[in-house]
Amino acid sequence: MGLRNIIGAIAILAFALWYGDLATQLPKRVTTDAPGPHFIPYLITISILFLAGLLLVQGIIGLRATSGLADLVPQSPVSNKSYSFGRAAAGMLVIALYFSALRWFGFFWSTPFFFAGLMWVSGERRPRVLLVLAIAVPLFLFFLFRDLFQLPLPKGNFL
Amino acid sequence: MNADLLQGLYLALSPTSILATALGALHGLISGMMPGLTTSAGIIILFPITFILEPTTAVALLLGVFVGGMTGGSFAAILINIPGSPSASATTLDGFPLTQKGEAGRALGISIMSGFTGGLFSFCCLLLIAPQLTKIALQFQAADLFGLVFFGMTIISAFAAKTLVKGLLSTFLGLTIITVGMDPLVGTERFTFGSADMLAGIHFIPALVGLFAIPEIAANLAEGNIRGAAPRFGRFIPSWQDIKNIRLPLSIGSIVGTFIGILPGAGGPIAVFVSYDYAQKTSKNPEKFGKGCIEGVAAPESANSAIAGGALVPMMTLGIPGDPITAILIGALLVHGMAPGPLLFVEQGPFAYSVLFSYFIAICSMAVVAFLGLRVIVKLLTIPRSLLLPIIIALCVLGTYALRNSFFDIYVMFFFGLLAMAFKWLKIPVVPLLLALVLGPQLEEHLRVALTSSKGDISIFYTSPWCLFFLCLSVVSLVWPFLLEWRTKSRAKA
Repeated sequence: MGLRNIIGAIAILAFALWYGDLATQLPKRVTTDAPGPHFIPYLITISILFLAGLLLVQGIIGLRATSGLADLVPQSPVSNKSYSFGRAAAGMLVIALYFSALRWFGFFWSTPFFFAGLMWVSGERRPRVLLVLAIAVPLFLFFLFRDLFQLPLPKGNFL
Repeated sequence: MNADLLQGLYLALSPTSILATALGALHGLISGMMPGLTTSAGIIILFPITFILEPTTAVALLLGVFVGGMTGGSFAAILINIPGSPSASATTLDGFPLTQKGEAGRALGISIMSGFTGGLFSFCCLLLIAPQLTKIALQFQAADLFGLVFFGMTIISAFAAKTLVKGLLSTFLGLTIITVGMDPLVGTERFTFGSADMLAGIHFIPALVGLFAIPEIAANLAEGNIRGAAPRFGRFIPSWQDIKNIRLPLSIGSIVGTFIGILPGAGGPIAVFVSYDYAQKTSKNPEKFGKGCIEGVAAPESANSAIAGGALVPMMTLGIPGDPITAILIGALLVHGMAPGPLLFVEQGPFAYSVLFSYFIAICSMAVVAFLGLRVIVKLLTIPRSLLLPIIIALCVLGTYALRNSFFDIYVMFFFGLLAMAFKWLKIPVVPLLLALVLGPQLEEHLRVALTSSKGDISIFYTSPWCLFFLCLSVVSLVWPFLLEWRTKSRAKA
């Protein structure tokens, strides 16, 4: 746990310093006796710096107490042999691409491709199943939310 | 009798509310049971639908999911030895051995019945305690409200993490997010970087969708396309002898679950294991526990269900969420312009009481839906994850976008998903961050209003008895984990 704590503490310290720097640019007081918009950000910065410092110390103590690198190896939460971080990363990439595509192509056109992509990453390999579900389910959701629930759906800039 | 109470009952008994509660309970049972889905995810999935519903119906739907999800989590624990929620963990101890003995139906029947009883008891407590607590909370001034919110945040920071530092860090990182946008009192821009999207602030709904849905999706992707198996089970209506045997464990679980549920942050797992432990200690046959005995299912299950009613007490009366699900419920209420807290009972009395009665209907609906649809619901375990995951993401997109018709919110959702994954790796809990998002604006507002009214004099925080009381409780909640650790170490040495 030591190394993780150190990495986390350094990242949080860097964030707190950046946040604190931005907070110094906020107006100090707007009216007399009232704490201004800077007040809470200052308190938060000081608290985070203090806590991240403590986490850093805990990390250093923890690292000295253990061999250090052992806890960097993630432990599988399930006893499933097919556990794969590569698949999770690929899935997250598909999700990121989908979110980017929504702005350009909208829900209607990008969702079937997303369904096919994520289902494929999840392990579905049967072409017919992929094709049918990737078209039918997004279509069902599209009409359900647009026509029945009358909710606004993401529309693409290209369309 | 109170007119608001009667109107609340009338609202909760409207056909649309009852239907919404029943559908919510069904959805909750399925979400809680499906491996890879949780009650939180189940509620998030239904968010877009609540936008088009009346507030009463929307809350009834979500309460149905809440109650159904608690029992659904136990179905998975009993049938496939995977608890659908942390508070269903204790149910695996005796539930799964019963399934292995071929008595899955009996275990499920006891689970539903215990859930119903525990829920009913916690509803009675909710109905008795909530109005009284509201009367007290109405006397609070800005400094007292600051103390209350501060206490809510510290207790959750203390209980949610293994180390207090990480819990508090999560809270303060959450507070940095609430400072983005317009200053709530003077309207100055803060941390907006000139972006029009940032000016409106980070809405907590996309944040909570990201915090809960994205890490679950990633974890499920890593596990692969698992398809559960629906086991066979026989009769599930509990026999008269079974009912007689579980009377005491049911009572223990109901009482423990309700009162631990009331404590913000104490959490379900504590309640279910405490009630399991008490049930074992008071049993005539404690050696049977852990080998598949119905008392070992009844006690944690009644506690598991009673937690929901307990958690609704601080949520409805003080506006303090006791756990992530009640935090999400607060979010749903805020979207509909209803801020939970003492004023809700004054300004929107019928609505506030309708929430309480909807909880009662949710308990009844859960029992009816679970008993009638058990055989069909369990078959849904065979739906492959490869289909579920894209559906969940698509629903998250629809819900997030529908909130403000903004792509920015979709990106915010993804950012928070990645943040939650980083937190998971660093073993920093996300629940305090979520609570900071929900309660942070109130904390800042009450603190600054109190200081403004006292002309900057901080003595206002210790001269007000209620504020002092809450600040003392905050100190206790921060010191408590250290005391517990010290006591455990002392005992281990002895």
